[in-house]
Amino acid sequence: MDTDLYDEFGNYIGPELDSDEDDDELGRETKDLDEMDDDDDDDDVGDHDEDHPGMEVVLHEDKKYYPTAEEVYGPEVETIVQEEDTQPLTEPIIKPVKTKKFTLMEQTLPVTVYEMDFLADLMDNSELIRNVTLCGHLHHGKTCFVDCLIEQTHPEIRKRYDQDLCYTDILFTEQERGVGIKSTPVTVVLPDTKGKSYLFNIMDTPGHVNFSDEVTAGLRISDGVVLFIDAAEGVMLNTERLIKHAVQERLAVTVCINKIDRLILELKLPPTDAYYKLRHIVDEVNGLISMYSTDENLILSPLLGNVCFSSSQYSICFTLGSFAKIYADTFGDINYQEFAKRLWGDIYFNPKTRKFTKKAPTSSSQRSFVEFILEPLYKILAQVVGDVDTSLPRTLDELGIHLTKEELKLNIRPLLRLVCKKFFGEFTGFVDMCVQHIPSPKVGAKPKIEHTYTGGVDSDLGEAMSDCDPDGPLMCHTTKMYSTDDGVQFHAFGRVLSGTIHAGQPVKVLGENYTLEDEEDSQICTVGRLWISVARYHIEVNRVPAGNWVLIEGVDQPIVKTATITEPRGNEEAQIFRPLKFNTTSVIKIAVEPVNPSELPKMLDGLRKVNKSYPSLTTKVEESGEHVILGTGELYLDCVMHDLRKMYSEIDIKVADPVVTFCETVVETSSLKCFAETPNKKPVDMHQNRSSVINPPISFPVIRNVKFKILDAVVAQEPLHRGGGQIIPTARRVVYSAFLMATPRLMEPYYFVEVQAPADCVSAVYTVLARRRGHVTQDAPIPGSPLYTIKAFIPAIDSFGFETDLRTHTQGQAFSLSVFHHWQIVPGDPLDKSIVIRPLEPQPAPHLAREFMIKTRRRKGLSEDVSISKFFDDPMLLELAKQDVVLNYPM
Amino acid sequence: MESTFSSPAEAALQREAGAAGVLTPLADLDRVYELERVAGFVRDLECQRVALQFPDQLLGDAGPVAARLEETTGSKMFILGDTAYGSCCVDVLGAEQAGAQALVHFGPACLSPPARPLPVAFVLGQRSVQLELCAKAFEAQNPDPKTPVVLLSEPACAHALEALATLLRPRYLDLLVSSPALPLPLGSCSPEPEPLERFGRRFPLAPGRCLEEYGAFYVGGSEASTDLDLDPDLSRLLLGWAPGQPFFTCCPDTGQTQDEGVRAGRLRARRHYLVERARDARVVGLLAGTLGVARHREALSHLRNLAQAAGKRSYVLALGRPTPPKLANFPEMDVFVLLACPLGALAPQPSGGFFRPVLAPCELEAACNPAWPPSGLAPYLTHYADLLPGSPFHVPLPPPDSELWDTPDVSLITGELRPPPAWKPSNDPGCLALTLRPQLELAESSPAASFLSSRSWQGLQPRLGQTPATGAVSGRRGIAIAYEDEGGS
Repeated sequence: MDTDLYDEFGNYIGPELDSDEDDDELGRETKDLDEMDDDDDDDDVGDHDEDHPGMEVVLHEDKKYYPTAEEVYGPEVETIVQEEDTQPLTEPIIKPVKTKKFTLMEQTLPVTVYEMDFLADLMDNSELIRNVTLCGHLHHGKTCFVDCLIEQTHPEIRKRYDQDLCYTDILFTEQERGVGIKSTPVTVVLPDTKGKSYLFNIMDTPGHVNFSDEVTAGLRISDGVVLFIDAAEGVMLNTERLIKHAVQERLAVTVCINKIDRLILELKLPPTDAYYKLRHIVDEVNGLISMYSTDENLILSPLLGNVCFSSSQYSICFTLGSFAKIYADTFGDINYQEFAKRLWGDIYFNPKTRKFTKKAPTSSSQRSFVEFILEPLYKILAQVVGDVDTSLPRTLDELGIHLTKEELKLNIRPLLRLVCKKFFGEFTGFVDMCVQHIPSPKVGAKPKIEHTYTGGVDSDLGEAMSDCDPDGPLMCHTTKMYSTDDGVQFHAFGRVLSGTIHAGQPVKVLGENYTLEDEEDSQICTVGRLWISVARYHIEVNRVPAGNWVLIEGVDQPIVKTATITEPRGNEEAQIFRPLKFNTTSVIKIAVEPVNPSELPKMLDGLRKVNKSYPSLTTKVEESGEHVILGTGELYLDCVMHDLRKMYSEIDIKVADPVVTFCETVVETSSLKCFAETPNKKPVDMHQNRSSVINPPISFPVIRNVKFKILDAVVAQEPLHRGGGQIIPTARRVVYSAFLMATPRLMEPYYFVEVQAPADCVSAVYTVLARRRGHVTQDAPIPGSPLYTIKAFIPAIDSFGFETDLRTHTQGQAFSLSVFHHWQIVPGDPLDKSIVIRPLEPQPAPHLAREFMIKTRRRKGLSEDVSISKFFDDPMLLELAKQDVVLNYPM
Repeated sequence: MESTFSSPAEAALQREAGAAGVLTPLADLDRVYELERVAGFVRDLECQRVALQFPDQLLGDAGPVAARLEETTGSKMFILGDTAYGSCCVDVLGAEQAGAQALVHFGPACLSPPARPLPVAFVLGQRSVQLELCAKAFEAQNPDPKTPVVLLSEPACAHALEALATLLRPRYLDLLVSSPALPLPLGSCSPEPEPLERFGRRFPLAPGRCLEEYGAFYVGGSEASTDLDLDPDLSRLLLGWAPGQPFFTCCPDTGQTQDEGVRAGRLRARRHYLVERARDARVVGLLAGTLGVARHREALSHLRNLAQAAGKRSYVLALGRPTPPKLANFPEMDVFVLLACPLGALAPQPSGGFFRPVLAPCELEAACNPAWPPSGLAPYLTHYADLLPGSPFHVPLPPPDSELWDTPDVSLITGELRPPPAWKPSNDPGCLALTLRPQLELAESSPAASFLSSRSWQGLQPRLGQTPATGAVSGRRGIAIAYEDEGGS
């Protein structure tokens, strides 16, 4: 290194280096360069590669770190750089993958006490299958009962702490609300008292009356029902409706009186009173059945074995037979079936003669049911609840129940459950009841087909279905659609009635409008996978033979509500199964609209999906262009809106205030002959009376209870005068004018309300009802309980918020359920123009009809009043004047 | 013969059309009908025969106007009193029959281009506008001077818009004034940049701006118009205007303003319902509603193709102006589509008592073309020409093997599944070459035939074989209003 070239600080002072030729081009650059040289030189010296072309000094502003957008994308691409963030800070730049999940599902197949292969084998033997729907009033313990069955068959599924498992409430919303919304199928293998295994297809249905449509879908594919009745509450509103529905659907009816522990622990009834209470329930059910059924032999009795008793909370379930079996197992040498026949009714045991007699041997002797069943039950419950430390271990020892020290230290409820579980064992009594009284799919097929199939039963196909022939032509009836976890797709759920459905098979899906004459509503689809559904997990199978329930993938697209699935070829005579016939009517209406109009397609897609998901839901667009949803009640529509907003469309939706559907009727006969002339002067006369349906004049879509009588119609001789152009508008005018002359009235739907409340709240219930135009029809105490049942009617339009209102007024002690009951005329004249409707004020009763009419017409965007003159001709008006008809209507 | 037909021939001739007598004081004629301008137009063209077209309600003034014009120009004037379709369209055919070389159109006009070139002058009318009141109303509705607003008006008030804008300009920066899209004088070069033409109006948009950014302030209508039946011109503006933008109407007499957002929403919902009806329809009646507007033949064949592609039967009906009794003669139709100028297509109102709904062409396109953007995203087009190839809004039908045709669809009206179209659109409809048919299948019966067989009354009894055979004789001649053999009775 030449030291002369550097100063004492090591700075270069020698002659200029000739490496940077370019730099000389601009004077400004060289000047800058001098300033920077000091820093650069050290490096340059150290590196010894000054001549390298890449090392030339480039100014900061001239440096190019990245290629320009033009170089990257080419000259024809416009690139825009935005200085400001268009994405809000709250939104992550890399969003986590969002998985939509609305249901609780098992990750893997859980362990079961039976092999899955065994379950699959049983599917081939239709005599060993039972298709059962569990139904009953709200909170009468259906889901809890299924939990017990699940716990008995799935050793690893246990309820946590004191929480109910609710295995069949698979939706998050169901868990949160604590009420079933969808009916859920469960398939398990259960043994009867003799240890014989049966395949049970059980449908757990919602108990809330709003969701009766789910029950209907379940009933259609079942051969029998088990009706759950709360021992303390007895027969309630929905119990009665379900009995009627099951009888109408021609299903075998069995009863399970649930929550018998409540009689003992809560109501603290003496055993004899408990017996009376139970007998009262059985009698009540029999009374209802005889009212709705034409079959005289249809009687329910514990003696027949079609009534069982249970307490699903404490895992108790027995029939007379299974309880007798416990005696037989303990004491041996007893014919338990004969013994069971003597355990119900006015039969007493005489310990001296060791015989059963019809008369009480002593004044203190108890009926056999009390002595042999209730007394022991009371003893077990009482000792566990009251006497854990002293006498319980000895009693348990006597019963042959062995508990560990830890188990004895459990809380009362789990302990009671444990003891009962050990004492009563599995629910073999329930299985016995179903096996004996509910027909197998093979036996039940014939009545089922006769009731639901639109085609003839005598054909080859009808016979294959009646025989439940797995080798026959494929016929499968789907009644429900279950959406997948993420709510994107649907799986169809139904019952195979004949033939065998295979995975991957092409099938023909017949819709509800398919007939042999009009084959349009049918589509060929390919079946995807097939499953047996067990609430939170699905067992995939490759084929499902006749008699079973199946969950089908890949056929959802053409199905709206129900469908018939058959073979694509060779089964041309197949007809469809009837669409579901519901026992409720959808009278509540809400109009929906997306907040952002451009999201309408998303909302329509969502509407189509909720329409699939809810059996009785109706979604449609009205003539005014409003999208309306018709449902059975507030809770129902609330669930629909949840699904629409969260599950299926994820957009903001505006909802109009709920309204009800109205219809129009007349109360009198039109006093004069209404007539009109066709445009070329040919009169049509009509008179009107009180039943036909046409498009009504005032504003509502349906006319009820009206008869139109054609008194006279002079139809022109010449065919030219008789075209539709002459007749239709004229006839319409005549019908409207006749309608308007016969004192038109509105009709509104009425709800039947059942309220349960303690005695001190009854007056508050009356008050709340009266404020909403409701009236009480019955008010009676429930026998053996401190509660009252109040039955009332309330107009549906005034029922919005009734439940909340009622709870507020009774400090949450009253509970109500309401269901559509009938149509009733709205007081007041809808066309009386003298009525002035003041805004934001409750209207007196005679103004209501007018108010409803004006508000509906406003909502539809019609002018407020019906212009009547539009329907009357001049000659008709003259006639009116001649007859001096007093009309307070605007002309 | 009278009894056989709906009304005797004389009745039609004796019927009084429009209001009788002169409506406008003679002194006002010049101002109201802009006779000076019209006379200038006629003189410039130097034509000998000129047709004057009046709507029915202005016919009373036709005589004096014609007389006055003949006097000033010396050309022969013909009054076209009876237009076959809407009076808003230029009746080219009528003018041709009279051998006129030019036409003057009075009253509200749809300004759609006529099918044949003919010099036309439009007299839209001069309605007085209270400028001060309107300006005040405008300021009340638009407190922010930066809001982009377009001034619109009914045709008769168009003359006052510039004046209104001048009042507002100092304060409002982003103000656009629309003008009626009158035909440009022949030979005049179009201004640069060419203004956007929509809704029969011109919008002088600055480059880079679009109409969707603007709110609207419409001068026109009257305070009393609260009923459903909107003026078709206002309906098309409400339907076509961007849904998120405010739309105010202002009465030119009183300056009363009204927010039309609710009405527009209701109107859109109603049209949406009609699209659903069209989707459900099996048989579509295409009503010829114009013969004088450009490209109507093309549009008709386009609509027929559409209906066929979507698996619907279509029939073309020429009925003149649609009325409920006329349309009720065709009960086998599920919906009618009125192919007419933008105003004419929107004219049939829901309260008009039609037995089946009457749709605009755009709604049939939305119903039948699966590639059409879904409702809410699609523009509402009021003129059928926008649907045809060559327009920026044209959406071609997807190819027959496209998946779009197969998507199952649930009707929102009946809640039932709509089957996918039974037959696909063929690629070359005009191909006449013979093709080999692999297998003969049973011909599908037409929906009309199946409808007929379901009717209880199936028309005249044909009495096959019961009528004696006779030789053919020559029939009646002439036009329907008075056949030759009816004589002059």
